[in-house]
Amino acid sequence: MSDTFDALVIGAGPNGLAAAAYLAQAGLRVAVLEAEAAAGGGCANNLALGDLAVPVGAQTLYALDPRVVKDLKLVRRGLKFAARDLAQIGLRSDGKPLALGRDAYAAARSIAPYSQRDAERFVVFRRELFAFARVMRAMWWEDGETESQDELRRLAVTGAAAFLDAAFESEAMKAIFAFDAMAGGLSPAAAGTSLLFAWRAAQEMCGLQGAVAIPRVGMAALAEALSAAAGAACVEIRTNSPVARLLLSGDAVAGVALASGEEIPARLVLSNLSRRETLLNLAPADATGFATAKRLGRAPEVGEAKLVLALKAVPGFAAIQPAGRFVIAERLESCIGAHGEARAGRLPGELALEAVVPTMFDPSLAPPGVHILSVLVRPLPVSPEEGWPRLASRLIENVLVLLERHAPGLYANIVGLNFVAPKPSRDPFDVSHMLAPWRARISTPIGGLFLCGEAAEPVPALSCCAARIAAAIAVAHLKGEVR
Amino acid sequence: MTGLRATPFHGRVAEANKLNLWENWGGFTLASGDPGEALAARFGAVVVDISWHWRVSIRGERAGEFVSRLLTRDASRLRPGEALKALWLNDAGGVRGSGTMARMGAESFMLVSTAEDFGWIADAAALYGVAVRDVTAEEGVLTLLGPAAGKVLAAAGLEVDLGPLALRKFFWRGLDVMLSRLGDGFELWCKPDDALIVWDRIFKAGRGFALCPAGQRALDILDLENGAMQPGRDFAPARDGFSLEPSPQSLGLSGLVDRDHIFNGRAGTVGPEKVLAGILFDSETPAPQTVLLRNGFAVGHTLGSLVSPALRRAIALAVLDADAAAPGTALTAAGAACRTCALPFLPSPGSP
Repeated sequence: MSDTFDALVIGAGPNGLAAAAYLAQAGLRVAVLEAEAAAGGGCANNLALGDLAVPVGAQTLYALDPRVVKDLKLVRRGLKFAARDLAQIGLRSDGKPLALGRDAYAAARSIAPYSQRDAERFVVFRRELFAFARVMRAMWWEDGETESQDELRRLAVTGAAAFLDAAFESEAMKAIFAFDAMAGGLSPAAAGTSLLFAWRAAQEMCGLQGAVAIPRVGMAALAEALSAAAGAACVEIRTNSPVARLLLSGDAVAGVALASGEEIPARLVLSNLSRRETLLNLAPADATGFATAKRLGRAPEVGEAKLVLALKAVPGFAAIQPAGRFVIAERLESCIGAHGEARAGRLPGELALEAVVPTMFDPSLAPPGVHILSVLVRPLPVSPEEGWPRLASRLIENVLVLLERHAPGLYANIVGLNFVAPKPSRDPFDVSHMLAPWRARISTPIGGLFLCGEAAEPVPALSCCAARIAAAIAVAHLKGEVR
Repeated sequence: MTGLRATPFHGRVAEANKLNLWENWGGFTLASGDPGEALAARFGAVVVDISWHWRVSIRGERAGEFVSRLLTRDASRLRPGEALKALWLNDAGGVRGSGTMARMGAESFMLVSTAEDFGWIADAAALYGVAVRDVTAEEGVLTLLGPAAGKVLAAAGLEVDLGPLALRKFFWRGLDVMLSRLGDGFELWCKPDDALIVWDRIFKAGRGFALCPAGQRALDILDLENGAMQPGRDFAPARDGFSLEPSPQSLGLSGLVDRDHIFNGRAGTVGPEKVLAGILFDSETPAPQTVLLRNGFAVGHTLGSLVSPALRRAIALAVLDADAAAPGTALTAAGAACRTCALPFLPSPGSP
């Protein structure tokens, strides 16, 4: 035991690396403890796909905190983008695809065949949503208050379905937003889910508001850039070091014990895991608080799964211009029903899909002639009655049928396939989470223990914003400042 | 709807309840009685049936760890036969309950309170694998109050050299009983089937001491005169896992909180302190849960309020700002003149 650290970070995912880099920049001695053999978490290429390996987690970047990119000099450390602004393309069985790109007037032309009125409305809809979202950044990017309290109060009780019903008349325009409306396992009918659109619109990628980007060399590039930033700040990254439990002294954290039995003392611990995993699995049962432990005992009911395919040929819909991410959802209303079925533990009859083909933008991700199709599927039961291994085969079948309908011949071109089931370790998400102050999402009942991962974000997504703010709160805590 | 339950002493209580006035607390029907019975407790001795008090037994290997975390004072340091008064708080520091924890054995405790909170205790105990059981209906409990209470028990053949907050089991002429001093007087615990025998033995022994039965009103008056606060009666406890109110400091109960001890909700036990004080009214009109004004500005509010037959005026418990708590401060409550006084209003009837 020669090393002593001021702060430990559990999990070397992007958020953990970012938090560690910020803590080290503040002058602390920091170690990151990673259970796996390599850093990167959900961004590392850990999922086998035939001869390839792809990341388990996010397939696009739409919420990466621009301040983290700047502070940690991620662009200089290798984070370049293969696609900066993916259009949102709705694949329809009742007409031509709907392409909503940055050019609002081009988007309006694509909407016009479905509804002339929606085409006119869309321009205003986006302008107003973006304007409101910019005001909300004071609350979602920083530890502050928004000025737009009246609009916030209105949206905080408005469900996504009601919000879209008020804005658009055509089913196609409502359905194209259905996938985004189910972020975090929420139903589009649930009160306040309209804020999910505002949150997405508040994000900025490559200087563009509400953009969706794909990094060059894949998501692993982000993990590598963050690793480099942490390394440059003298953070020690220990791989193959799963944390077994937290060490407490009184009601404050005193370090961690590794599965190997080694005990590492530290006054600060930042966890990249979910609140449930951190407090139920790592902390002693009582330190969490009796009511909190009971609340955390409830697992999320609805989540999302990821399906990755390796294809011999690019799928038919990839030819649509402008290039983008493909949303397959026929009707918003049926997504509400599907959410109910998923909650009941059954495989929904209708699904909402978001598909991207990263090799369209960066052919170096796969050998020549091979394309990767990455698909997120919502809403799905987290703990289905029949269990995931059995349900997965039925789900994959359904998804492939759906994809085949929009890209004939896709089935015959599959050379590799893998599947990631919904994670039960995730925290149940609800709208109140988006409205809570950062401090409430980041701090825990245990002094010196903070969350820095997706669980602390307003909406579960790859952002690193929580890591930046958690590091600031943790440093203030260490200095004894009341924040 | 299960209806009200009768206590094990109900047969005798019903005979003794001459006014035929009843109250219900904790799902039990109990005699209300006459306020004058509180005076009897100050001169002789009275017996009150308190079998309705909520009692929960806590047993298990980690029972000590559990009670230590549960309560605002460290009950795991008690030796068998000792007890302490403490609060239990929700996660945010709101007071969920107040009661007495007694250690019955190495791995066995008993919590006694006037307000039930079984769900909370059971959920928390599950985290420790500790068994908790509501034993309210499994015992009859009588309390003996008054200067002659000890003499009555001695005459009945029970040894009474028991310190405050202590309890001891006896084999009493064929009956298993327990004697304790958790409140103002003595409590005698017995099996429900023995209840009527116990009642009769006590009254036989008390004949020479003018022992009389008393109801819940007398007990409430004595409690209030003694400055004791009860959840449910004097304040509404937090019924949620995360509500901040009422905090111990807002109830002036910081004396029951050991700040060096680690317990559930400890983070919420900081903040502006209120002072628990007595309020003496000039009239005989009680004013429970009323805002107290000094020169037109609110300085606190009353909790429980009753007419004290010994003081011949209405009294109230109140939580006040520290600067208004000095005895003699003139206040008004709903237009009635009153003043602050130190607690207790009167010494406990049991004290020598």
